[in-house]
Amino acid sequence: MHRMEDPASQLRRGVLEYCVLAVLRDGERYGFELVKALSAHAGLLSSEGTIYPLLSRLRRSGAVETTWRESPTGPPRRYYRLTDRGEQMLEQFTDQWAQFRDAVDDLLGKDSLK
Amino acid sequence: MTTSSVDPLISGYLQRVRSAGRQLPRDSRDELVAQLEEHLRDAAPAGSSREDVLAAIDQLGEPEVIVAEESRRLGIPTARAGAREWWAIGLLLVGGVIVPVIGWLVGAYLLWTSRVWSFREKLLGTLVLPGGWIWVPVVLVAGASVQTCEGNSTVNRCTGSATSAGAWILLAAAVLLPLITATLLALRTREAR
Repeated sequence: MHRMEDPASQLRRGVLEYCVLAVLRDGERYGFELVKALSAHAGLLSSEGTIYPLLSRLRRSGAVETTWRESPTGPPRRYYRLTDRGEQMLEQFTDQWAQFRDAVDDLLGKDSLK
Repeated sequence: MTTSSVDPLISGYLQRVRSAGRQLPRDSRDELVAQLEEHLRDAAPAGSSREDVLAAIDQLGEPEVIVAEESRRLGIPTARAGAREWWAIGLLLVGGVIVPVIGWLVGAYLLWTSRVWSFREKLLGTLVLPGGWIWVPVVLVAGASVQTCEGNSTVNRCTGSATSAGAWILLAAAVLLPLITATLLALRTREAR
């Protein structure tokens, strides 16, 4: 029952929401645009659809907000936009991530010297 | 939101999401389906080839995976089927035969308190047939008493084929209907293991 999870998917789970916030820093996006921006970076998205539960959660927690905008094709699209709170979360994570990355790099680097 | 021009491949996929997400709160599920529908409209605009639509669906991923992610983000533990569900199926089928009425009622209680089955499946499990296989001995006893009645009459009308054909149909229904329901519930249970 307790099979080991792929380490990449564990890492992804932790950082993906901040990657979404980072993409939205440059301005509002609709779902498909966001997915394309993320999947341009290999290894970030395993299955594209899982981004939507994440977006809903970010909306519920107040990090992003959605607005409806007309689309040239068919019904209006929902656009996701960073809120002030989301911006704060992103800033905080950016610092934490730098520390974390350095710490892990440091340890991995040491191990390889042994 | 109705999209009449939607490719049957897309609506089929969205239907699978809806059905995989039957344990999600209704508004979450509706939102998820709407998001995915919008995504597919952008990923495979009207007039896309069948291959493009299939590729877009493939990249979205399996409905179960997306729903599991939604459950996780909502903090809902994924409902896992266990002994309780198998007891429910067993009792709905034969509970009423072993302990008349009560055995089946316990099965129905377990059915309705489980999170593995949808409302529709629970309704099916309850209505087809209430009592489960209890109707098998009932039909058999009723059929036998009809036979005896006819045998006692001076003129032997036991050959009345209409009566026996009707009895056979009733017997088949009493055996098969609960069995089909139990099979459907069991298939879903195996999926949720």
